[in-house]
Amino acid sequence: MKKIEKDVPHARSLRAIARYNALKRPDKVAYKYLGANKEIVEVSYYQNGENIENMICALKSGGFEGKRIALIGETCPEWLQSYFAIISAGAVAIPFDKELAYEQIRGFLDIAEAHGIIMSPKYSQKYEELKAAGVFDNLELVIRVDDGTEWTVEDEKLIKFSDFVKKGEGLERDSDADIMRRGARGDMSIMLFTSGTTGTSKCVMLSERNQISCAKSAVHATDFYEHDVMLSVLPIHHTYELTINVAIQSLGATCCINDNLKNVVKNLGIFKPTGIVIVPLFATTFHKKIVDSVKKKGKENQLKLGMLASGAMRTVGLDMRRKLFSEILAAFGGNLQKIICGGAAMNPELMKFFDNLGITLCEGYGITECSPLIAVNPYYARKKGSVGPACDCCEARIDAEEVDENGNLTGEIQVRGENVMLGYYKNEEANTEVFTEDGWFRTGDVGHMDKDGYIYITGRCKSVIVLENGKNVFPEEIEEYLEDVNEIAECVVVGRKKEGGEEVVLTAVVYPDFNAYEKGTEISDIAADIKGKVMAINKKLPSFKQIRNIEIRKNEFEKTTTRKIKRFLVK
Amino acid sequence: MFEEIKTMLVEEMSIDESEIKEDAEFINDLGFNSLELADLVSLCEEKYDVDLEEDKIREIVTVGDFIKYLESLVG
Repeated sequence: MKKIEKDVPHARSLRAIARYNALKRPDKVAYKYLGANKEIVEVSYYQNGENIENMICALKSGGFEGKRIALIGETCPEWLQSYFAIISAGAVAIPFDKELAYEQIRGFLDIAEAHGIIMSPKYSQKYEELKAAGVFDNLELVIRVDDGTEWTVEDEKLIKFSDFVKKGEGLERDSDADIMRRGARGDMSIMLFTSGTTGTSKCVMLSERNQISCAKSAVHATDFYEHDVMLSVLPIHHTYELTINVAIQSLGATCCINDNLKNVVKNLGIFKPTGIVIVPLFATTFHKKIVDSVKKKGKENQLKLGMLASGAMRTVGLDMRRKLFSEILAAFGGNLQKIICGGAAMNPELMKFFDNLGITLCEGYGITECSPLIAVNPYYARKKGSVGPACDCCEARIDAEEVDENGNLTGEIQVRGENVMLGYYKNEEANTEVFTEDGWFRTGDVGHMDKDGYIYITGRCKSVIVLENGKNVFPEEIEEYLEDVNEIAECVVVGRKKEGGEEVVLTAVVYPDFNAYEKGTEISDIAADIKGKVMAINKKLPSFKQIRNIEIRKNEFEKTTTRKIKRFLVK
Repeated sequence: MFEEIKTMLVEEMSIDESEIKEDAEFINDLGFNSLELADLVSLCEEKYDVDLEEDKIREIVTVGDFIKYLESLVG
């Protein structure tokens, strides 16, 4: 595939992107989503831009400049409009995971010294529970995006999204010329918490400039254009999804919103997107579905032959893939041509599989602290097994100490550039640890680079477990919960790869408190008892953080002189 | 209900019939991932015309747990 040069010079700031779209393509659909009766609702770029401008005015006139506002809930246009408006008004956006427990939300709001919160429609249904849990106690503004249901406002700090936006109508706005001229903010504009508990979480500080630089890099490295229709399936609080969304808007493409994980395939059929941004879990599940359905129809040989034939035809410049495999492609809406996959390691064979069907799959690599994009395997020059070269917004190096068995200089991947965070909020110790003396960011990932600068990731040197669905699990967080079980003396949570697969299974390696059991109790009985207790803890955790496997050990863990478990010895 | 779910798991999700028991765990025994579980939820919602809650799904470990929850909705 040839590289097509494209640029988005207007993408100087989030506000400039929104305003440019509202002026240049007012009638074009910015968002599509399913309404209460499963009807398709469309939001034009004009309406999107107006909501953002009005909200900026409302925030400024309400004295929210410089203040911090959290965002929580399912993806919806208003979530994204609020995000754009908060940052453009000179305030700070704090995207939260909607799966956080109420006490953690309250804890994070306090740490971030937040002044307000904005909730998506479905999440807003938890309003009473959140209020009872004291989540809103220290806030001055609570915005509920209207969900169509009637509710009475009993709290003076509570306001509907539509009413808040109305407050900005008619107020004096900045001129379009000013908006287009001004660049992105270089100060803290976004605060992101890295894990689910206040004890173990770090708060990443990003600037608007960090994100804009990443979004522009994504535009250059991917084959997405103005005519594309994307389906958004990943949680919106992730920088990965957020930055891709900014990139899509800077191109003026259309974003369709998947309402629920269980409806992904159905929604592919409804919205018929040309592109999708996913994590490896989706790619492997799609692959499995295709293989299963082909098997069921007894068409395995036909698929194999078709792939061989289309491969041969492509060598002579004839691309028949989309015709040959139209039946398979129809299951994905019929228009799907490109997939961006990131967030975790992907099986390199999948790239070839989808390519054979007529879908270009590009792998990317990133980390929240880098807003998050570091590298993308570019559509015009992909290399199997690589995550691609460093993007325009940064440079990467390998802090090599050793040569691996294949002769590659392997070491920690380090990054420097416009995408690198400002630092962790009020955490000097972590900041000192994560930056080298010469100012490079330590990713914690290990890999090597080829002569063309393509990065190959081979492992991790931090304890974080990256699941196939791209979610990060911080073992220390789960261990905190497990330590509440009296019968557990010590434990370490690790990610074990399933035999013959890429899927990572969260496993607790437990050293029981043998004194808690009667003498002579069988190990199998102890294991069963501990399993029961861990299952009870699982119910408190989101499914991706639940322990799926328990291994009992008879000896204490080896420790450092400061009595910390040497977790790298736990294999 | 068990037989119906079993048929669904075999026909729609290509699970080996011999592995499907009430105490079989979706993730550990049947090799499900979270997306496949979401898929099963979607199939059942359509078949039984019910709405399964995300919070409840989170607590489901075994096929038996799933059937019990589904039965409580179907009545």
